[in-house]
Amino acid sequence: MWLMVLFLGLGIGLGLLSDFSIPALYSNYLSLAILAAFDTLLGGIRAHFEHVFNQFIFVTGFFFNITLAIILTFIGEQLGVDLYLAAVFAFGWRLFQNIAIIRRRLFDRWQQQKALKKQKQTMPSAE
Amino acid sequence: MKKQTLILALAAFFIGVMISMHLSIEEKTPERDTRDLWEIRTALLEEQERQQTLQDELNELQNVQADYEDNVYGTQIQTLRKQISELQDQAGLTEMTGQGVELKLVADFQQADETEGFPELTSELLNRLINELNVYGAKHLAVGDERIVNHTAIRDVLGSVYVNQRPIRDLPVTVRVLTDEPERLINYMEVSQSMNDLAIHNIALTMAEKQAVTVPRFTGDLALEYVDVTDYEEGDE
Repeated sequence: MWLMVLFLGLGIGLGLLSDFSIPALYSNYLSLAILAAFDTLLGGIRAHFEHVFNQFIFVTGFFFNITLAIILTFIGEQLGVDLYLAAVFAFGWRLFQNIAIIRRRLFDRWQQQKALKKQKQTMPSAE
Repeated sequence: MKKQTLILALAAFFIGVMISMHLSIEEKTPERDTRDLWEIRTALLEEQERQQTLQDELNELQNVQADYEDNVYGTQIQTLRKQISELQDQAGLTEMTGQGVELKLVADFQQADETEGFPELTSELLNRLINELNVYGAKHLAVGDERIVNHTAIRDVLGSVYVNQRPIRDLPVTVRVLTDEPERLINYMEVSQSMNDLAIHNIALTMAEKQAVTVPRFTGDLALEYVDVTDYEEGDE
């Protein structure tokens, strides 16, 4: 978990240090790509906690979602319909769901650890 | 297990890069200097000329200052008098004579439609004409008998044009201009926008170069109650 936060910070830092910038025209695409990537990342974390993490699914899903989001935005822009809102809605919805599940898993794990500790404490006194 | 974390961490890294890219989105593409060498040279030359003129002005003012600082009482008074008369000339408080151009605005009935009636000079037309004359090197101006100074107002009041709070008469109107280069001014005015604008309003503009043109002095009140001397510090360059 900490490794992920560290890498996120590292990515932001490196990106800011490098002299690379994109024109404002593509800001829509980029924000949606970020959203899609976040969604996939949280999905991966959730799968990790549920012990169903599949590396292949995660990697393909990561890039596929980003590409899909960008294509959707592009089509929406061509048609003059804010189609990217659909992607925002879908990703946002999933984002919240995933976060909720991750929170519950973390809470469960914490409680389990607490119970384990208590057990350990009570065991020697019983002896 | 470790591989999983690494993949997740790499994904996080990727997101981090994208976020930083999003942070550094350029709102506007920076404007590039697209002038070629020739244009830059011309611009440089213009700036140098400007510098020269400013330097000349500065030198003149420094001479005046030196005169003032002269200890001889008579010289100081003389400089003061000279300065005052120069400033009066600048402010338009003296009658001036010199070479210049006389412009006549005449109603042009030949071009006029029957329905249009008598051509009327408006304050807007006069303003534009005076602006253009100033651009093309006019030093002192007078419309009819009204001297144009820095704060002269040209307004439409109840159908007639007021200059210096006084109405000027109907067409024909004479505009007298003092300038160092009368011929050049005439050439410029021949192709000017206000010539066209006047023609649209059925007013013909004729120009004549004169050796001695006299512009009257400004007779109104100089309203200086709202004018302040800005902060001035001794020896401030």
